[in-house]
Amino acid sequence: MTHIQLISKAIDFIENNLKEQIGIEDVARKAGCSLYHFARLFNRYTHHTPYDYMMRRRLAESAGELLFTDKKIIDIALDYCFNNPETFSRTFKKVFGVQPKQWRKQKNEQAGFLMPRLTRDHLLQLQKGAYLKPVKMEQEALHLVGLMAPVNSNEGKEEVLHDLFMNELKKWDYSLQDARYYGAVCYWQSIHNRGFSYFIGIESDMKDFAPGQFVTKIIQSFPCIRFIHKGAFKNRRLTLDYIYHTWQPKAGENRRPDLELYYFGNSLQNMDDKGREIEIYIPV
Amino acid sequence: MKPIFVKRDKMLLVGLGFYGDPFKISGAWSEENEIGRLWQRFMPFLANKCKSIPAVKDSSVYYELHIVQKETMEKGYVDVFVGTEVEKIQTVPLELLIKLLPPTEYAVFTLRGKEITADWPRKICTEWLPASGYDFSYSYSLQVYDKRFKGMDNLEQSEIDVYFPVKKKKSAAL
Repeated sequence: MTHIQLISKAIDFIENNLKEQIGIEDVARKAGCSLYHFARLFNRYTHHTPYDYMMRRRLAESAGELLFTDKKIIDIALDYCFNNPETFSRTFKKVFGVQPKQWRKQKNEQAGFLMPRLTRDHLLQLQKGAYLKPVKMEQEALHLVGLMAPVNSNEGKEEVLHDLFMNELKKWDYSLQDARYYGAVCYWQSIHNRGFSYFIGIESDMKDFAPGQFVTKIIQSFPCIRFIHKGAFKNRRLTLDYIYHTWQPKAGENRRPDLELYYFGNSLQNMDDKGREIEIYIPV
Repeated sequence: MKPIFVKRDKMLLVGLGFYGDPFKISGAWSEENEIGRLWQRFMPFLANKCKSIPAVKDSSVYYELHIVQKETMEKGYVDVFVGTEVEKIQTVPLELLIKLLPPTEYAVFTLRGKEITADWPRKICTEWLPASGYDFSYSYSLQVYDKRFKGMDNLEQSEIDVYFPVKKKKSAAL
């Protein structure tokens, strides 16, 4: 059994037992390792301690149930193996910044950011460790022209927008030789709308003019952390999950919840290539 | 894995300790996790202040102690202590702690090369122990690093001893 298979097996066991009183020793035994060896391996492949992973997943699932069910808070707490509501509230607040009651009341707009279960693809993505190395920097202000559209789910609308944009771009007399392509995910602030708008565009010095269907998007300079996603654009979620659910809690950085910026370089081609590199800027 | 058995009187270790998941930052066999950090703090201290630690038994032998506690099984938290052995409790520098290990018999396993980073606890606990006629007498283990250990960069040329405190099973003793 490879290490990836072993850790996947352990994750399956944890996920199938989020509502059961299991300890890390049980998970290690299921994976066929000593606890000592298992803890090392799990951390190396997931960047979480096994206990931290299990607790964060329990909290993510319970946070989802708070939003999408009418179950009593105490029942949710007990379902996910918290001994009492106080422990649940304290731990919940530590991770989400608010008490469970408040979370449910405000239908928190960050529901889309609940930690998902780690898949084999996540584990493989994490092996590209050097690409995930964060770089703190100041992103300069950008004046972009391009297309923008609302996205409600992961239906690949961004890729459709990329194609539309390229077709539109061909109609206009733009020199694309040194074009710099950017994508911007703009999260909606409305608590009732859990979605985002996606913008694809190029840097432009035509300050007052956006031809045809194009819109202008101005992004002010912002402090940020830059990561590099290596892999197909459609798999960027794997890197984003690492950023939001693994790196961010450890680093203690507060991200600005309204924006993610992608830099694609001088082309929108080869977006499905495994070797594609995309810079991701997370405003903090 | 075949151990030798040695009886040791109580042992006094002076050193530094950590409690929690030592691999929280990194699971690598390196100085990037809490165990590595303990060694990183302890070794320079020992080198600079060895003379201020009275009654060091052998300043070329070091111990890494892992104590299993109630939270170990549940959360993976371990009590880790690195240190060296002293003859008796005397005044030790403020920065160091003292750990007293009880007199007991130990099963001593010598690990060589890649065995050092392999899953030897599993082999010892699930393969050797059930067939050995022994039980563990205390819930800790000791890794002993001496001149045979050449560093993680020279693992192939290295050896360490691992001590598990044991007692004969009652049925086996009869």
